Amino acid sequence: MEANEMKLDPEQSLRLITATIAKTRDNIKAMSDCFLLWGWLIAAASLLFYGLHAFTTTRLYFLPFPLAVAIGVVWTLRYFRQLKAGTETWLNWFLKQLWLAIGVCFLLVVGISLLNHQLPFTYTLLLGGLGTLVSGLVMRFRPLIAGGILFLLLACCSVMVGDALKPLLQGIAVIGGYLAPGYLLKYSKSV
Amino acid sequence: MYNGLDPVLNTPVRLAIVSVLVKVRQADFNYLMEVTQTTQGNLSQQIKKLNEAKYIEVIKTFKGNYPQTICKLTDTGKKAFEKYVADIKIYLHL
Repeated sequence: MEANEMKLDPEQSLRLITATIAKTRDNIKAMSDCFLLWGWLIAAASLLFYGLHAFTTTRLYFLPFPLAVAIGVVWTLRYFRQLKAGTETWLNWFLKQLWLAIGVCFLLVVGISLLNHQLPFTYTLLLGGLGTLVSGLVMRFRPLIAGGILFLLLACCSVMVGDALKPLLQGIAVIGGYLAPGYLLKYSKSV
Repeated sequence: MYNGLDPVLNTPVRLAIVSVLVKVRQADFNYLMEVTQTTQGNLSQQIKKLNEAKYIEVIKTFKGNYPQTICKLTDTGKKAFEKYVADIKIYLHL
């Protein structure tokens, strides 16, 4: 573009606005590493919880979750400190706020469930389903929408199975409903 | 000829900057330079004019040890852009 004060006619203006907005694409992939890391942490914690609870006699079978959350929080804080103050689209901002709120609710749900002496997996599956479904809808990315629905279906199934199987369902939900669409999104050309 | 159009927005680089800022929550200087395909000096000058018109907010910060300029659209800028788009639609009979 020229440095002088060239005036635009309405047609040129409209073309320029359209072209500029088209160039300003949402860059979800910039945040994908952080979202995928959380997926792996929760999936690993769920499967380890299931394995330790079902196949060992250890009383520390719950330990993978606090460990995963601690690793995730430290890593996320460092990650967003590096990203801070750059270019951020409204969609990226919305997704960050959505998952931050879901993360807080996740911790509250776990805390409240522990106080009530019950497992939190049905509710954490619902929260994961909500976040994944809304993310898929705002990004218009069908695999993620399907992933969100899978979470919600498995949340319903978790009411019908014994406590021992609930973390396994969560592991399956995270791998099939969050990580798989997450990698499809990361390597897709469309979003 | 098109006297009704906002003179602050009716130039290529300034209109491009505001069009970007409509889509993003905030944009840094390098990103604006990439999208508007203009020179560093010209972009600085156009950002200054938009800032003087209170269409954008300019935040000076640091990324590591390097200074960074962040731009955000203000409510005044948003309204001006909406009016500009409405005006060009009238001219184009859209």
